[in-house]
Amino acid sequence: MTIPFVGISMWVIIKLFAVISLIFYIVFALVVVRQVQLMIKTIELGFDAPLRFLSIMHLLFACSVLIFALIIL
Amino acid sequence: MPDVFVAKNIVKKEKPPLNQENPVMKPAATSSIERLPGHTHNPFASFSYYPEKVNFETKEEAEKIVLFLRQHPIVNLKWILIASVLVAAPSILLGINSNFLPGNFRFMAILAWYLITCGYIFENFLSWFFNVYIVTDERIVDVDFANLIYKEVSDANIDKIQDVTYKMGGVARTFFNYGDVTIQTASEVPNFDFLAVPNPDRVVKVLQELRREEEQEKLEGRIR
Repeated sequence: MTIPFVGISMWVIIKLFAVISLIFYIVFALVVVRQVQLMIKTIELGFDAPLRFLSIMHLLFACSVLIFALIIL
Repeated sequence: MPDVFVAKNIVKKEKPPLNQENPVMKPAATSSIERLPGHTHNPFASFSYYPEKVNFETKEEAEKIVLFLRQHPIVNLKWILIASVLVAAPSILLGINSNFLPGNFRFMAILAWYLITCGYIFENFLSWFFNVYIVTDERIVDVDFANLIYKEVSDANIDKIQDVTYKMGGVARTFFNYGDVTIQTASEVPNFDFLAVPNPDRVVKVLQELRREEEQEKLEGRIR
Protein backbone atom coordinates (compact mmCIF):
# COMPACT_ATOMS: atom_id res chain seq x y z
CA MET A 1 0.00 0.00 0.00
CA THR A 2 1.64 3.26 -1.17
CA ILE A 3 0.76 6.72 0.04
CA PRO A 4 -0.34 8.90 -2.92
CA PHE A 5 1.94 11.85 -4.00
CA VAL A 6 4.70 10.73 -1.61
CA GLY A 7 5.33 7.35 -3.20
CA ILE A 8 6.43 5.68 0.05
CA SER A 9 4.88 2.48 1.34
CA MET A 10 2.67 2.95 4.39
CA TRP A 11 4.45 0.03 6.08
CA VAL A 12 7.78 1.83 5.84
CA ILE A 13 6.30 4.78 7.72
CA ILE A 14 4.80 2.44 10.33
CA LYS A 15 8.17 0.69 10.70
CA LEU A 16 9.90 4.06 11.15
CA PHE A 17 7.30 5.09 13.72
CA ALA A 18 7.69 1.76 15.58
CA VAL A 19 11.48 2.04 15.66
CA ILE A 20 11.40 5.65 16.93
CA SER A 21 8.83 4.72 19.59
CA LEU A 22 10.97 1.78 20.72
CA ILE A 23 14.05 4.00 20.97
CA PHE A 24 12.03 6.29 23.25
CA TYR A 25 10.91 3.26 25.23
CA ILE A 26 14.54 2.18 25.70
CA VAL A 27 15.30 5.64 27.12
CA PHE A 28 12.37 5.13 29.52
CA ALA A 29 13.70 1.68 30.50
CA LEU A 30 17.14 3.20 31.14
CA VAL A 31 15.52 5.82 33.40
CA VAL A 32 13.76 2.97 35.26
CA VAL A 33 17.10 1.20 35.83
CA ARG A 34 18.69 4.42 37.09
CA GLN A 35 15.71 5.25 39.28
CA VAL A 36 15.71 1.79 40.85
CA GLN A 37 19.42 2.24 41.66
CA LEU A 38 18.72 5.63 43.24
CA MET A 39 15.75 4.38 45.24
CA ILE A 40 17.74 1.40 46.51
CA LYS A 41 20.45 3.86 47.56
CA THR A 42 17.85 6.02 49.32
CA ILE A 43 16.11 3.18 51.10
CA GLU A 44 17.15 -0.44 51.51
CA LEU A 45 14.18 -2.75 51.91
CA GLY A 46 15.76 -6.17 51.66
CA PHE A 47 14.62 -6.77 48.08
CA ASP A 48 17.33 -4.88 46.25
CA ALA A 49 18.92 -7.55 44.05
CA PRO A 50 15.63 -8.85 42.52
CA LEU A 51 14.50 -5.29 41.76
CA ARG A 52 17.79 -4.48 40.05
CA PHE A 53 17.50 -7.73 38.10
CA LEU A 54 13.91 -6.94 37.03
CA SER A 55 14.79 -3.43 35.89
CA ILE A 56 17.71 -4.75 33.81
CA MET A 57 15.52 -7.52 32.36
CA HIS A 58 12.96 -4.88 31.39
CA LEU A 59 15.69 -2.90 29.62
CA LEU A 60 16.97 -6.01 27.83
CA PHE A 61 13.41 -6.87 26.76
CA ALA A 62 13.02 -3.37 25.29
CA CYS A 63 16.36 -3.67 23.46
CA SER A 64 15.46 -7.08 22.05
CA VAL A 65 12.07 -5.79 20.82
CA LEU A 66 13.90 -2.98 18.99
CA ILE A 67 16.30 -5.47 17.40
CA PHE A 68 13.34 -7.68 16.39
CA ALA A 69 11.61 -4.65 14.88
CA LEU A 70 14.69 -3.80 12.82
CA ILE A 71 15.03 -7.39 11.58
CA ILE A 72 11.41 -8.47 11.09
CA LEU A 73 9.67 -5.31 9.88
CA MET B 1 36.19 30.79 92.70
CA PRO B 2 33.42 28.58 91.32
CA ASP B 3 33.42 27.52 87.68
CA VAL B 4 30.58 29.27 85.91
CA PHE B 5 31.07 28.01 82.39
CA VAL B 6 31.10 24.29 82.90
CA ALA B 7 29.58 22.26 80.12
CA LYS B 8 26.63 20.14 81.12
CA ASN B 9 27.03 16.43 80.89
CA ILE B 10 24.93 15.18 78.03
CA VAL B 11 23.71 11.71 78.73
CA LYS B 12 23.51 9.59 75.62
CA LYS B 13 20.69 7.17 75.95
CA GLU B 14 20.27 3.86 74.20
CA LYS B 15 16.59 3.22 73.62
CA PRO B 16 15.20 -0.19 74.45
CA PRO B 17 13.30 -2.19 71.82
CA LEU B 18 9.52 -2.70 71.80
CA ASN B 19 7.48 -4.75 74.16
CA GLN B 20 4.33 -6.57 73.12
CA GLU B 21 1.99 -4.95 75.65
CA ASN B 22 3.26 -1.45 75.09
CA PRO B 23 5.46 -1.39 72.02
CA VAL B 24 7.31 1.82 72.74
CA MET B 25 7.47 2.48 76.46
CA LYS B 26 8.55 -0.77 78.03
CA PRO B 27 11.88 -2.36 77.21
CA ALA B 28 12.06 -5.86 75.82
CA ALA B 29 14.68 -8.31 74.73
CA THR B 30 15.52 -8.81 71.04
CA SER B 31 13.87 -12.23 71.06
CA SER B 32 10.56 -10.70 72.20
CA ILE B 33 10.66 -8.27 69.25
CA GLU B 34 10.40 -11.27 66.98
CA ARG B 35 7.23 -12.32 68.79
CA LEU B 36 5.51 -8.95 68.20
CA PRO B 37 2.33 -9.40 66.13
CA GLY B 38 3.39 -6.82 63.54
CA HIS B 39 7.03 -7.89 63.32
CA THR B 40 7.90 -9.51 60.01
CA HIS B 41 10.88 -10.10 57.75
CA ASN B 42 8.73 -9.93 54.64
CA PRO B 43 10.03 -7.14 52.35
CA PHE B 44 6.47 -6.62 51.01
CA ALA B 45 4.95 -6.06 54.44
CA SER B 46 2.86 -2.91 54.82
CA PHE B 47 3.09 -2.73 58.58
CA SER B 48 6.14 -3.83 60.49
CA TYR B 49 7.48 -3.19 63.99
CA TYR B 50 11.26 -3.02 64.19
CA PRO B 51 11.93 -4.20 60.62
CA GLU B 52 15.39 -5.72 60.46
CA LYS B 53 16.31 -5.33 56.83
CA VAL B 54 15.13 -1.74 56.39
CA ASN B 55 17.66 1.04 56.26
CA PHE B 56 17.56 4.53 54.81
CA GLU B 57 20.18 6.97 53.60
CA THR B 58 19.89 9.59 56.36
CA LYS B 59 19.52 7.16 59.26
CA GLU B 60 21.86 7.84 62.16
CA GLU B 61 23.83 5.02 63.69
CA ALA B 62 22.05 5.05 67.05
CA GLU B 63 18.62 5.63 65.50
CA LYS B 64 16.20 2.71 65.59
CA ILE B 65 13.32 2.17 63.19
CA VAL B 66 10.24 1.58 65.35
CA LEU B 67 7.61 1.31 62.65
CA PHE B 68 7.75 0.75 58.93
CA LEU B 69 4.67 1.46 56.82
CA ARG B 70 3.54 1.52 53.24
CA GLN B 71 0.11 1.53 51.61
CA HIS B 72 -2.12 -1.46 52.20
CA PRO B 73 -1.62 -4.11 49.45
CA ILE B 74 -5.30 -3.86 48.53
CA VAL B 75 -4.63 -0.43 46.91
CA ASN B 76 -2.78 -2.35 44.18
CA LEU B 77 -5.95 -4.07 43.11
CA LYS B 78 -6.87 -1.36 40.57
CA TRP B 79 -3.66 -1.55 38.54
CA ILE B 80 -3.54 -5.36 38.87
CA LEU B 81 -7.00 -5.54 37.27
CA ILE B 82 -5.94 -3.14 34.50
CA ALA B 83 -2.77 -5.20 33.95
CA SER B 84 -4.85 -8.39 33.71
CA VAL B 85 -6.98 -6.77 30.99
CA LEU B 86 -3.82 -5.61 29.20
CA VAL B 87 -2.35 -9.13 29.33
CA ALA B 88 -5.55 -10.72 28.00
CA ALA B 89 -6.31 -8.04 25.37
CA PRO B 90 -4.12 -9.31 22.46
CA SER B 91 -5.61 -12.81 22.53
CA ILE B 92 -9.15 -11.36 22.71
CA LEU B 93 -8.49 -8.90 19.85
CA LEU B 94 -6.81 -11.57 17.70
CA GLY B 95 -9.77 -13.85 18.39
CA ILE B 96 -12.12 -11.21 16.96
CA ASN B 97 -10.03 -10.29 13.92
CA SER B 98 -6.58 -11.72 13.31
CA ASN B 99 -6.03 -10.45 9.75
CA PHE B 100 -6.04 -6.73 10.23
CA LEU B 101 -2.21 -6.62 10.07
CA PRO B 102 0.43 -8.55 8.09
CA GLY B 103 2.05 -11.39 10.07
CA ASN B 104 5.35 -9.65 10.91
CA PHE B 105 3.60 -6.44 12.00
CA ARG B 106 1.13 -8.42 14.07
CA PHE B 107 3.96 -10.24 15.86
CA MET B 108 5.76 -6.97 16.57
CA ALA B 109 2.55 -5.31 17.77
CA ILE B 110 1.99 -8.13 20.29
CA LEU B 111 5.61 -7.97 21.45
CA ALA B 112 5.45 -4.17 21.88
CA TRP B 113 2.11 -4.49 23.68
CA TYR B 114 3.57 -6.91 26.23
CA LEU B 115 6.63 -4.71 26.62
CA ILE B 116 4.43 -1.74 27.51
CA THR B 117 2.36 -3.96 29.85
CA CYS B 118 5.57 -5.05 31.62
CA GLY B 119 6.59 -1.40 31.98
CA TYR B 120 3.17 -0.51 33.37
CA ILE B 121 3.24 -3.34 35.93
CA PHE B 122 6.81 -2.63 37.00
CA GLU B 123 6.22 1.11 37.30
CA ASN B 124 3.12 0.63 39.47
CA PHE B 125 4.85 -1.93 41.63
CA LEU B 126 7.84 0.38 42.17
CA SER B 127 5.52 3.23 43.03
CA TRP B 128 3.84 1.13 45.74
CA PHE B 129 7.03 -0.52 46.97
CA PHE B 130 9.09 2.64 47.43
CA ASN B 131 6.36 4.91 48.81
CA VAL B 132 7.13 4.24 52.43
CA TYR B 133 6.66 5.87 55.80
CA ILE B 134 9.15 5.28 58.57
CA VAL B 135 8.81 6.08 62.24
CA THR B 136 12.07 5.98 64.16
CA ASP B 137 12.64 6.68 67.83
CA GLU B 138 13.72 10.21 66.85
CA ARG B 139 11.68 11.24 63.80
CA ILE B 140 9.19 10.41 61.12
CA VAL B 141 10.33 9.98 57.52
CA ASP B 142 8.12 10.13 54.44
CA VAL B 143 9.60 8.76 51.21
CA ASP B 144 7.52 9.74 48.18
CA PHE B 145 8.21 8.16 44.84
CA ALA B 146 5.48 9.78 42.76
CA ASN B 147 6.82 8.86 39.36
CA LEU B 148 10.03 7.99 37.62
CA ILE B 149 11.60 11.41 37.75
CA TYR B 150 10.17 12.72 41.00
CA LYS B 151 11.29 11.70 44.46
CA GLU B 152 10.72 13.47 47.77
CA VAL B 153 12.11 12.49 51.14
CA SER B 154 10.94 14.59 54.10
CA ASP B 155 11.35 14.11 57.81
CA ALA B 156 10.37 15.75 61.08
CA ASN B 157 11.53 15.19 64.62
CA ILE B 158 9.12 13.44 66.98
CA ASP B 159 9.17 16.44 69.34
CA LYS B 160 7.97 18.66 66.47
CA ILE B 161 4.73 16.68 66.13
CA GLN B 162 1.77 18.78 67.21
CA ASP B 163 -1.25 16.77 66.29
CA VAL B 164 -1.99 13.31 64.95
CA THR B 165 -5.31 12.32 63.44
CA TYR B 166 -6.48 9.35 61.45
CA LYS B 167 -9.32 8.85 59.00
CA MET B 168 -11.02 5.63 58.05
CA GLY B 169 -14.04 5.66 55.82
CA GLY B 170 -15.63 3.54 53.15
CA VAL B 171 -16.33 -0.13 52.78
CA ALA B 172 -12.88 -1.27 51.65
CA ARG B 173 -11.06 0.73 54.32
CA THR B 174 -13.27 -0.54 57.10
CA PHE B 175 -13.16 -4.11 55.85
CA PHE B 176 -9.38 -4.24 55.41
CA ASN B 177 -8.65 -1.92 58.35
CA TYR B 178 -6.58 0.77 56.68
CA GLY B 179 -6.78 4.55 56.58
CA ASP B 180 -4.94 7.87 56.38
CA VAL B 181 -2.90 9.21 59.26
CA THR B 182 -2.33 12.98 59.18
CA ILE B 183 0.51 14.35 61.27
CA GLN B 184 0.77 18.09 61.83
CA THR B 185 4.23 19.26 62.70
CA ALA B 186 6.04 22.46 63.61
CA SER B 187 8.85 21.63 61.19
CA GLU B 188 9.42 22.87 57.64
CA VAL B 189 6.92 20.35 56.25
CA PRO B 190 3.71 21.22 58.13
CA ASN B 191 1.78 18.07 57.24
CA PHE B 192 2.76 14.46 56.87
CA ASP B 193 0.16 12.21 55.33
CA PHE B 194 0.56 8.49 55.77
CA LEU B 195 -1.92 7.42 53.11
CA ALA B 196 -3.86 4.14 53.18
CA VAL B 197 -1.68 2.57 55.87
CA PRO B 198 -2.85 -0.56 57.70
CA ASN B 199 -3.90 -0.30 61.37
CA PRO B 200 -4.01 3.53 61.57
CA ASP B 201 -5.11 3.35 65.22
CA ARG B 202 -1.94 1.46 66.14
CA VAL B 203 0.16 3.98 64.19
CA VAL B 204 -1.40 6.84 66.16
CA LYS B 205 -0.79 4.99 69.42
CA VAL B 206 2.87 4.37 68.61
CA LEU B 207 3.32 8.05 67.70
CA GLN B 208 1.65 9.12 70.95
CA GLU B 209 3.94 6.87 72.98
CA LEU B 210 7.00 8.16 71.17
CA ARG B 211 5.96 11.76 71.78
CA ARG B 212 5.38 11.02 75.45
CA GLU B 213 8.76 9.39 75.72
CA GLU B 214 10.41 12.31 73.94
CA GLU B 215 8.80 14.75 76.39
CA GLN B 216 9.97 12.60 79.29
CA GLU B 217 13.49 12.66 77.86
CA LYS B 218 13.37 16.44 77.67
CA LEU B 219 12.21 16.72 81.27
CA GLU B 220 14.93 14.40 82.44
CA GLY B 221 17.54 16.25 80.36
CA ARG B 222 18.42 13.21 78.30
CA ILE B 223 19.38 14.56 74.90
CA ARG B 224 20.68 12.53 72.00
